[in-house]
Amino acid sequence: MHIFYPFFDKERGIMENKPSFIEFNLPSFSIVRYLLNNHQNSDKKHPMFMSFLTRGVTDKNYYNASFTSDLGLRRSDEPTKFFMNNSINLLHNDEQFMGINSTTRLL
Amino acid sequence: MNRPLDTSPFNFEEFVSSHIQTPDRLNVTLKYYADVLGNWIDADRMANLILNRKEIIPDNDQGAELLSSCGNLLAHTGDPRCRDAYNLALEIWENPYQKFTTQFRIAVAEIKRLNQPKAIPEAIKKSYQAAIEFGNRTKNSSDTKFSKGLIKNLEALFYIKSKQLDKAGESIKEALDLISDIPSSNLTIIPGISYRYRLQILENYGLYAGMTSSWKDALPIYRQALTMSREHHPESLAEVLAMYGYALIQAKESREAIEVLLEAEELFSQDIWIDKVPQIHKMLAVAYDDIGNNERSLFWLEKLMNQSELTPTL
Repeated sequence: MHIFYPFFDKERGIMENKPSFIEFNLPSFSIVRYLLNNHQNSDKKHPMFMSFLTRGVTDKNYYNASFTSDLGLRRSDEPTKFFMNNSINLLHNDEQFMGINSTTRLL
Repeated sequence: MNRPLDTSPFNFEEFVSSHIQTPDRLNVTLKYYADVLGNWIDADRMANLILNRKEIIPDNDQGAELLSSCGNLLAHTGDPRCRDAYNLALEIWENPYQKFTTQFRIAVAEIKRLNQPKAIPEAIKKSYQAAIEFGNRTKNSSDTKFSKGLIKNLEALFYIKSKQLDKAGESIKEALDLISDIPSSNLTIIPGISYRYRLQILENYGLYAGMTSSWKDALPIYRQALTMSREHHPESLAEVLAMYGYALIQAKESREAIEVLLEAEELFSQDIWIDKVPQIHKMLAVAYDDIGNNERSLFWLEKLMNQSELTPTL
C-alpha cells in the first residue's frame, strides 16, 4: 500500500510524495486528482489547500489527532466546507466543469 | 467541451468488497473521506459496509486498525454499531496500547454518545482493568498510571453530565495528579498523543475552575497549557490560545486577551479551521470594547460580518 509517486508542490516549491490511493476510482477522488493536476497555480484558493489535499500522507502525525483517531474529535463541518468551497471556487470557471455546484456529484 | 457528469450513486459496496482483504487501503480511504474531504455520509456508508463484512476482515493489525477507525467514526453519531467494531478490534489487537485505548474508547462512547447509563459502570471498570493490563504487558507502571489519569478525566465528564459537580472536580484533579509527574519519555504512548491528552485534561480543568470558582483561578492553568503546547504540541496551540483568550476576557484582563487572541487569529487563518476564525473575531471585538477602543472593536465586528457574507476561502 505504501506506494507513492513524486509530485511537485508548487506552493512550497518542493517535491513531495503523492499517495497512490488517490488513484482509486472513488467519486471525490476524481475531483482531487483533477485539482492536483490542473489547478496548482490558481490564486483563487486558500494558501493551504493543495497541501491539505495531500495531508496525512507526508505528515505522519496528522492522523494521530484526526476524526478517526483514538482522540475522538467531534465531527465538524470545517473539512467539508474547506474542501467544497475551495473546489467550487476553482472549478466553477473551469470550462470542463461548467455548471458544477455544491450539489453536483462527479464520477 | 463540458466534462460528462454522472449523477448516479457510486457503488461503495463493490469497492469495499474488492478491498476487504487489504484493510490498510480501506482505512486510508476512510480517513481521507473523514479528515480531508469531510464527506461524513460516504465515510459512514463505508464504515457500515465494512462492518457488514466483519467476519472476513483479516485477523491482523491492519484489520484491527480498520475496525478501530470504523468504531471511532460511528461513535461520533452514537451509532451502537461502534460497539461491534470496537469489540472485534479488541479481540484482534495484540499491541498493549491499542488494547487499552480500544477499551477506553468504548467507555468514551458509552458516556458521551450511546445514552445507555447502565452500560457505563461496566465500561469504566473494564477500562481500569485494561489500564492495569497495559502496564503489565509493557512492564511499565507509568503506562498504567497515565492511563488511569485518562479514565479519571473521562469520569469527570460523566459526573458533569450527571450534575455531580463536586465529584467532577475531584475526579479531574485526580486525573491531573496522575499524569503530571510522568515524563512522556517514560511512556509507551507516543508523545504526540500523550501531550494531546495532557492538554485536554488541562483545558478541562481550566474550564471547570472558570465555571465553578473564578476565571482568575483558571488563568494559571491555561498558562501551563500554553507553555506545554508551545514546547511540545504546536498542533494544539491555536485552540489553547483561544481558550486562554476567552478566560482572560472573563477575568477582565482584556489587554492581555487581545495579544493572545491576535496570535490565535493568525494561526486559525492559516489552517482549515474556518469556523473558528469568526469566533476569534467576535472575542477580539469584545476585548477591544472592554478597553474602550471603539475603533478596533468596530474593525473586528466588520470583519466578523464580512466573514459571514464571503466564502471561507478568502
